[in-house]
Amino acid sequence: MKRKMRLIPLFYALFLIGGDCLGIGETADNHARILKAASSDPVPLNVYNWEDYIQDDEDLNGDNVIQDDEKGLITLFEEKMLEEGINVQVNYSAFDTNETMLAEMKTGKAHYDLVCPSDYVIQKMIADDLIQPFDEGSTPNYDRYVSPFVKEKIGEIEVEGHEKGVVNDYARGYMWGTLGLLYNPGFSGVLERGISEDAMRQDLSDWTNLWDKKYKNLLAIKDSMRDTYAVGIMKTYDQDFELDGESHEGFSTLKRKYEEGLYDDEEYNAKVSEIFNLHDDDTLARVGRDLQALKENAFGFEVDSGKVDMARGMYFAINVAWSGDAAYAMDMADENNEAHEGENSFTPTILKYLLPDTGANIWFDGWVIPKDAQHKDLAQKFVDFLSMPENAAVNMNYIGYTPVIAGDDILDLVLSWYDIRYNEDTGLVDPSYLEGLTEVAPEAVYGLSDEEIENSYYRKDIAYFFDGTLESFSLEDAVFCLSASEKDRQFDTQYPDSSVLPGLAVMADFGPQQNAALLMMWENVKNTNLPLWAYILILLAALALIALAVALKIRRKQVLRRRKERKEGRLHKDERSKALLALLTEGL
Amino acid sequence: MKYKTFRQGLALPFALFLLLFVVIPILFIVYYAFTDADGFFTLDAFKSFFTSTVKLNVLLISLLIGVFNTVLCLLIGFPLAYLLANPKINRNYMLVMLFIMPMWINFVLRTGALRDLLSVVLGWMGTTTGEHPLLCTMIGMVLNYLPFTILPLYSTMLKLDKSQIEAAQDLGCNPFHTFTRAIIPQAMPGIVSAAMMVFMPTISSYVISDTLSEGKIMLFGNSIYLSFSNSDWNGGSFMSLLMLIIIFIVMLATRKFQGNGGERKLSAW
Repeated sequence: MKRKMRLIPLFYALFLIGGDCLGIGETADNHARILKAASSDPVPLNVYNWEDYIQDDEDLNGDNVIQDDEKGLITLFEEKMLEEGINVQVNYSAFDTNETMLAEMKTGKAHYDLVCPSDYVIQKMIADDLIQPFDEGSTPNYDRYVSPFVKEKIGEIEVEGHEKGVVNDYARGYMWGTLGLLYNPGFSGVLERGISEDAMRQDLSDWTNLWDKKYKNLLAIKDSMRDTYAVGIMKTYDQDFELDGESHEGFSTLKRKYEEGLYDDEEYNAKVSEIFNLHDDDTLARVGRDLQALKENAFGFEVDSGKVDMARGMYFAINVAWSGDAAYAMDMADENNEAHEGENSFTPTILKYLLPDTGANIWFDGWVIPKDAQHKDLAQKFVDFLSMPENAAVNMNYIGYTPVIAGDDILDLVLSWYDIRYNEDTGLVDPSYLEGLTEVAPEAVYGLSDEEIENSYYRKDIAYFFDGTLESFSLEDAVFCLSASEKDRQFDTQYPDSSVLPGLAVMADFGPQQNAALLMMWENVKNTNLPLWAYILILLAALALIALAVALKIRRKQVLRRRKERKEGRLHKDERSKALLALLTEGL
Repeated sequence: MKYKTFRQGLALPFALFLLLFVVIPILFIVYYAFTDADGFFTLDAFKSFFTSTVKLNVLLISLLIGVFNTVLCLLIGFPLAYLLANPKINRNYMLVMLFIMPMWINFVLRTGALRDLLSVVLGWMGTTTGEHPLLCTMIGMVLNYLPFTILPLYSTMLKLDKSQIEAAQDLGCNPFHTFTRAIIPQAMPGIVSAAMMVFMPTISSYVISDTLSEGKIMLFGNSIYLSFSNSDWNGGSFMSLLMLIIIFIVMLATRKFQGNGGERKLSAW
């Protein structure tokens, strides 16, 4: 790394000289500033992020040189800073779980300027006083383009000892998504059991059906305790329940009352979030029991391998998945389908994603600045750079997760990906593309025949996400026209329908004590108990082994003793014969 | 005198290496095992381990799988090694290489491939890997550790004293007694080192059980990993220490057998 850095000023100088000769380039003033910055010692900016979670340099044409159009966001940021007269070197490292990252931060083994943990960890870090707030107005692009919907959700996380909305002072969102069900209606095991796609979709709209014997061995759950807890509690408190002598309404009842209009959006969301975030000892025990039953019914646990298995159409038909992974798996399956198109024995894998009716988890990852950060100013600049809509669009294109950033560029990108009216030549939405197609209501898509699906489209309004961030577009442009075959596919995965939003709950941190209790509950779920007779058998075998060892020892001792006796006997005999001999000779 | 100190000096780098990479890490484990999160002395990790039926059960299951795996590997590996070492049957070293070759492939890849294979085979029988986590784990374990059994057994078998076996037969031993009284005692060092090569890593392994049991079987290694990944360094360290102690006990118990077989140098392992 160091060597590369030393070369950069030289390259820059050459580039500038070349630019001058050709009469292009910037003003002499600017050159001087860049040259001066490039020759100064680089300022390190230590960034700690999830693996594969940023668009990086990519040698697309394989010539071992990173061309201008192959530059990743980090390189572009370094160049931008150089133009501003600061020579920054971004030291980017990656972690794989929140917990390892947190352990490193707490023990002070590593010093970072910018870290990207998940929602509940940000809450924990604020409570433990590990991070500092962003300066007000330090991230103008973020403030301008962050989706108000996500910002509000981030603000919902409460931190003890702080006022509501404090998370928005300490963190800047990065990516967000939901935890739902990715399923493969064409999976061989599903077809064998005669479960139709419609039946499957309807069943999966209810979390409790994951416990149904009908889906035995068809489901993979997350090998991660918080995510699986989020699934368990949706079943445990699906119906009305009692806790500490008080009766509460379950998720099903809440949903029914919400549909009847007895609760408005906010009330409903507050109530769902409250129950979703219960983590007292009683609740833990109940969820633990339900999860043990779920383990019996499930094919298995997975964390990272599930998306690939789903895309290959192997092993299981249903996967509890994060939305970004689900979109990734769909893309992968589609690519695979294309590659094998027309082959005789090949059946394409079409994956779908849904959020059950009674609610689900919504999550986000965000940037935070540790207390001991050396370059807070640069860290803020980096976050702001990533929050520019064009950069967020590049990121989204590359990693598949949905950025919290809205704005024109994102809308344009998403339109170009999914909207059937999008004209690739002009880059504009062209309503004439709708001619000859029939519009259907989103729910009516399910009743269509294959042929009708080809010729139908539905509208979906995601204005909630873009509200207040658009400049050249208007909010009406955020109403998408989607091919009926896109239902429950990538677009629906990345941007949930506005109708399900009130049922989405953020999952808060449990606190140190209940985290330990959760870990114990989780170990209990993962633990395999043998049948009673097996334990008795083991005990008997162990006893028999000890008895055998003792018996062998005793026998060994006996053998030794006998040998000794024999030896002594021989000696004795020797002596006796010697004495006899002596007697005889004496007598003679 | 001078020469002697020079020779002793040669050992210094190795002593330093051992200190840095073996002794000091173990001391760290001991330190974490008997302190709490703030670094004060406590027996909490000790207590919470021995009062938790779940953790004890995980240990029991790991030991069981370890024993099963060792026995199975020996049952399969012993006759195989015997045949391989017999020049009449195996004229070519290539056959031995074939059995050892899987060791050179990254075992995560190997395990992933085995998962696919098992899925296909079980699919023919109308079932899936998720329904038989224990069976799949055992198959994976045996396949993975078989080369480790064959290699030490093979090198002992090569040096079997044929005349002793012939003498046993001449003096009236039936084939069974020839086997138990002439072959097994001679092969004992190989058997012991093969057993050690299998038993210890099996208990601490977690990739195989995780992949092939679809995460349904938790071994001691998984449990330790879970503790560390949830920032319970003290509990995790205590369990690691416990595993070290178990391994130490097993080594002590088997040392006797290893000495009995005569030449200890017989086995390269």
